Amino acid sequence: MKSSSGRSLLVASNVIVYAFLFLPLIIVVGISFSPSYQMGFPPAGLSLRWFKYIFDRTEFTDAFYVSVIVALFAAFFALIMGVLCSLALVRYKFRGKTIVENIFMMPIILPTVVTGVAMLQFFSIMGFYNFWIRLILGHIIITIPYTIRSISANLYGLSMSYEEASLVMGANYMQTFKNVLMPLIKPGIIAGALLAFIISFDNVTVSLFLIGAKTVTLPVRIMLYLDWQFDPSVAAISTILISLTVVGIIIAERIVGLANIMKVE
Amino acid sequence: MNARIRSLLFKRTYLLFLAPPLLVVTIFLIFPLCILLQYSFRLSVPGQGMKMVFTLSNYMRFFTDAYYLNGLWITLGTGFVVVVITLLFAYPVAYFYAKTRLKHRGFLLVMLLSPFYTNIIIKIFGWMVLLGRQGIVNKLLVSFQLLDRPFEFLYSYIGVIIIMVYIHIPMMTLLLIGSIQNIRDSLIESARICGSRNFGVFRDIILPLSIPGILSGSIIVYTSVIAAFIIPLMVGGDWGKKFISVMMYTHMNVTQNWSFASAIAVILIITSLTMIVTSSKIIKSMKLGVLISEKFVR
Repeated sequence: MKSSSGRSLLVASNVIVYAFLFLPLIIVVGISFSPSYQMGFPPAGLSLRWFKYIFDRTEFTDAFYVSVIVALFAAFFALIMGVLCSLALVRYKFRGKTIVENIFMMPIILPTVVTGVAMLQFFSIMGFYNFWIRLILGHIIITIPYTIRSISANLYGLSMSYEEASLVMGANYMQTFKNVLMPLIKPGIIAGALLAFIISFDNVTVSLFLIGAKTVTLPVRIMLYLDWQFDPSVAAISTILISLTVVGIIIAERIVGLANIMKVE
Repeated sequence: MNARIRSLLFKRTYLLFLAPPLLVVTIFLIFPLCILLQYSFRLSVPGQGMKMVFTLSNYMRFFTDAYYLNGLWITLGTGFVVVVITLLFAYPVAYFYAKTRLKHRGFLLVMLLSPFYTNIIIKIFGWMVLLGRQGIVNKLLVSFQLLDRPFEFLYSYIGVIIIMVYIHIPMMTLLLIGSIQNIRDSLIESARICGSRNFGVFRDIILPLSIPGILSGSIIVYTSVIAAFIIPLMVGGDWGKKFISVMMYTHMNVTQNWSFASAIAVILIITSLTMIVTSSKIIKSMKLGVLISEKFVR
């Protein structure tokens, strides 16, 4: 838009929307430094008492560990599945490929709440009550599409001649995979792992159905806490998580370039 | 290429790769979904578990009871309202990102992704603080005398809409950016050279060409809204209970009527699948071929 009025309208609307997007986050960070139970903004003073409070209460730190462990396991296994699946889908032609692709994208298309319910029913019928494995399996299922997508995108952009050259030179498939393919799809793997970890760590809907008393993840813990209490302690946890998110995004932007992962470029 | 390589690369080795992930997804997703479908035709008897009969009574109950039908319409209508408002907010942001030459686009993307990747509970919590009775929004509205007393935004329909729009703006923006970027600048320039003014360029060139993006973005946000669960559950109050996903949750966890919950789940699946299939048909018939699965970011 060349005219100044059109352009200033565009800039103004952008400023408003970005402000709207950051408003709740700024408020949350603000009240986490509140010295009292007051949820007002700006806070009456500055204190770190709510940060001390959350580290003193094991329910939040425990939930944090649960979330990290589950996300690590889920991301690891989803990554293996993603690599295998992408190799098959990108490097081979076979009948029923579209169906297979759609099957793996199902967790994205299906309402998450349905995935949660279906898995809960399944585990209950099977009498499977290891809540750690239940939770991790649930998270593997919902993160697989993301690892597949980022690794496939990487593989598509990669000429097959690298693998061929390595095989012609006499390397077997494992050697080729380890020494040629792996280094080449590293960006896809990093992006996929990061995405899977974030998706798993952030998930509430599926977790809500699959958790047990000892495997309450952090987002679910916060949600349950908010049912009974409404104080700045949640703001303190949120501040920590928001900072981690922003730092993570900036690092991802530096390492792999977010525009590539998000396919917006 | 010698035979060994050909056999390694082109034969049925793919089955070896495909087997483990396919097995996991089949056992832990497809099989459970089959059970869910099967359950939706059974009858749960409170306290006695599941009766193994074939019945359509769960579906009959849903489609004849005004309470559930009303819930279905509210859910579908809310999806529409949220999509329209979200689109109005997201379009200028996507356009600005896609078509403006900026030095710090990476920074803009970080600005967009930070709220996108912030945990949903945190975002809802932020709005609980903002919209609460003693919250800033109410204080401002009262002090400017737009309201004579604080309005209970939370646990009302308006609150649900505000938060849903908020949650979906980054998603919609990211989905729109791609399609707006695909509009060639030369088309815009030609229109200018031919004498079209700014609004004309927007109306005749930019908007029609971004329709595939708008459609696929809208449909993804729509399916996300009609399946939304956490927002109506946490801040929906009595309104939230009318969302079908919350109804399903209640029947699953509170009344323990699994067969009815399964029927609601099936209805939810069918609704969103219909949406996705029809819209991708429309997009394809426009010969602009943007596949939903390709455009989906999260």
